[in-house]
Amino acid sequence: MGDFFAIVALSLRANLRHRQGLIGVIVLAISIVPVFFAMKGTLQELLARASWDVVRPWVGNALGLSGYLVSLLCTVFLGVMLGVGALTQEKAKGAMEALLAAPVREMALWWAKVTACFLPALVLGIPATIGILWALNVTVIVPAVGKAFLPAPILATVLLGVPLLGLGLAALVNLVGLLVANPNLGSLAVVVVVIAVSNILPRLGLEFASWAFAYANMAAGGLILAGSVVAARFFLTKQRIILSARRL
Amino acid sequence: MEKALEFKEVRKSLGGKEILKGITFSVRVGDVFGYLGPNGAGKTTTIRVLLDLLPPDGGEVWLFGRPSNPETRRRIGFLLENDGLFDGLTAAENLFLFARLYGAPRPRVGELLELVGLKGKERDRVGTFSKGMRQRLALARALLHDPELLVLDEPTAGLDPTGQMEVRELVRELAGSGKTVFLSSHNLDEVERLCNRIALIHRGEIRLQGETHELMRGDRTGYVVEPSKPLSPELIQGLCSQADLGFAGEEGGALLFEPREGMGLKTLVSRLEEMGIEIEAIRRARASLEELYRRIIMEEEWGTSSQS
Repeated sequence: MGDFFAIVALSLRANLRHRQGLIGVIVLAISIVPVFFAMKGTLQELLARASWDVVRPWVGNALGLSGYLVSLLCTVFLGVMLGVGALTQEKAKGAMEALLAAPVREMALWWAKVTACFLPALVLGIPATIGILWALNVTVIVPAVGKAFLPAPILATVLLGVPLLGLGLAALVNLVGLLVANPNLGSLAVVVVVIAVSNILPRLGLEFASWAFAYANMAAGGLILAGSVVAARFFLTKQRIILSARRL
Repeated sequence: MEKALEFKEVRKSLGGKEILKGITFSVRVGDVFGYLGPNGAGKTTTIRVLLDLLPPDGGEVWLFGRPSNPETRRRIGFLLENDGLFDGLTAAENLFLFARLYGAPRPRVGELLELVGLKGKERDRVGTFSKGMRQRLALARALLHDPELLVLDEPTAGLDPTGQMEVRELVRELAGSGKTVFLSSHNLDEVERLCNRIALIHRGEIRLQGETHELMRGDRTGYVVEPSKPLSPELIQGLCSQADLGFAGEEGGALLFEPREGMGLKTLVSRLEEMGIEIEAIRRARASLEELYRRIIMEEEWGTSSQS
């Protein structure tokens, strides 16, 4: 496990210092603000329209959507952005080759890269998601209803479902990044998956504040993660990683 | 003598093309072994196979008398063609990472930074380093775990003359301290100066290997005579007319003789003196590595292209 922890420490530093990572954090911070104000307006409108018992499911849905969007932005997109920039450079400059020539196993390298993308995204994503749900409660729901409102399925979605999806996608993007010449293909794959998931799940009639939605996200994340692990077992070799590097 | 490295009939194909066609060579403990070849000859693939980055399709790689395995590979330090440093990390962080991977003690990082002349630069990001500084840092990284075999792939490529001298000096010191060095290069002068044994690879096959001085001496049997003053055209013509002297030509004012069998050095000297040639120095003829290389590589290239 020594190789795993050493590469996690290295990659965390490299990711957080990489320009693309910093841009990701800034873009994320900026994009949370409009989500908050848009949802605040929607919730205020809903609560003004009818009694609490009537609008409760709608409020739950709006709150769930807010949490889902922020969680998706932080845990998924930030994780991807953090990883791809540094990975591209490391492959192109031969740093990956030097690592693999040292006593480092391919799978340890991959998991370390995944962890180094996912961990900061999770550390930033969970507080940001909880923060927006708390802020919407404090500024809109509590003044209108007199109590906080945070259904358990929403918490399950943002604390388990989306992080699992983020982990699966971080695994996928890093696997693609290690195996192909252009690691940006990994980001593209993630964008496609996220758009597909976020479009398919609501179309299935699943409410954002439902257990079904939480389970669906967990299942999607679990499937992507499992698929990536199986693919890695078959395809991730030192030879493939090295020969796919595009030299600078 | 114990062998540090052995390639036994190693074959490797990539993308349907046979890059290594059953190469066999060995490096003895304590050798500074030059691995020569033009671009695309298979040098980097050989190193990648040696470092287990590419699995061979056939044959075996042995290290220190045993088939290559993770344990024996820990006894190798390497400097790859692309230095493989992490630009976003500082010099010290780059070394700490590899120290951790190899289980080397942390104080070793400071010692090595001092050895390669980068003391005081440990907190600087590697992305800001010059090519020479990067190469020295990569060499420090290769030495972190005090390896017995150093694998260096084009260690002076892209360096200015000062940088090249510094790296060569370091390699010489390391070889002097008893380390075995495997030096891949297409810098013939560098190999000639540093290596006691060489192998020449071309189109995936070893074309030549052995002791550097023997390969260079074995190629010529004659003498190089340095006259104390330039020879007149008449004298040159006179030399040409005496076939038994085996006058083979003039190189930078020095005369090359390949005398017929039976003619010793003494006879040659007296014959030249009889002709009025004053001799300043005389030595055994010895082909430069460049000549050997040119003969093997260039003639083959030429032969192939003329055939096609």
